[in-house]
Amino acid sequence: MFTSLTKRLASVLVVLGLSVGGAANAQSPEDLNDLEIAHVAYVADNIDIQYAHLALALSENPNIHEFARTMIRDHEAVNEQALGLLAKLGVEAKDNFLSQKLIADSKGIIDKLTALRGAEFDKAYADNELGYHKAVNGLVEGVFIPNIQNAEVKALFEAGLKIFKAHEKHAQMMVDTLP
Amino acid sequence: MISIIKRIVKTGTVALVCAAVLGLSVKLYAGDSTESPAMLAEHIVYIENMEFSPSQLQVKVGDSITWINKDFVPHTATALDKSWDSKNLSKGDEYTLVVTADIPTDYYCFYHTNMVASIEIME
Ligand SMILES: [Cu+2]
Repeated sequence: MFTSLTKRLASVLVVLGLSVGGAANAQSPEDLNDLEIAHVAYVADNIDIQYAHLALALSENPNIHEFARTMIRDHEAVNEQALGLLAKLGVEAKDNFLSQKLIADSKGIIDKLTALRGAEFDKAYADNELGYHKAVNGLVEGVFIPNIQNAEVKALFEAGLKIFKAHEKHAQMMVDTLP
Repeated sequence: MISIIKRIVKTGTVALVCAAVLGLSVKLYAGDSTESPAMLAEHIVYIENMEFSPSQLQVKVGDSITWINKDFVPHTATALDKSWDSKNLSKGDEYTLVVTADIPTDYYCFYHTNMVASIEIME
């Protein structure tokens, strides 16, 4: 049980491009508190919304457009729930190393996607959506949900995970059916 | 033994004769729910946790089906050929469809195309 969780965590970190080993004072996703976790989720949502806007601008495939519109609709709905909950709890999400890492990585991906057109763009976008949802879902399920202290925040992440897992399946279907 | 059978047959005959006298049709005994408004059912399908629940529903012609979205992300209930369509259902929104004999029975969520479900129209 412990070994499989550790292995799983290691694979999640590798997908996210994070170091598994490292110095004693290096921050790891396991060290994040509820407010930092909420910040990471908010940033991750907004990154996916940005990718979707790029897809709407650059893709000519109607299925990609529908998927992108769903990503915007759903991630905005999740963000709205998250902001509502933080306001209700009277707290603010807190910036942290992982949020910054996600933003830095997304800039490279946006640069790469922006240079592509047509079927090449569609394939790269679909592959990235699948990989991104897999990585974030692994992090949410394997690290965030077990570590979140506040019951309402935990419940929101559990609901969010079901949505993002559906997105992951949807992305898989898109990857499998692209010409 | 034979007399018992004779009596049962006789009783059955008497019942049929009585029915005829009273002007009742035998069909009425069999019951015909589609012609009786009291027998029509109102079914509810919840859309919750990214699933239609129940995902398979048995209905009769004339029944109504209401989809209620309980998720905070929007969904739709849309026939595969789009001949019937709830359009956008935000949280708490609902859509009701009255079952007719010829409606397509396979449907999905237009936003999440891997959310699929079906209704089965019973005789
Ligand atoms: Cu849906």
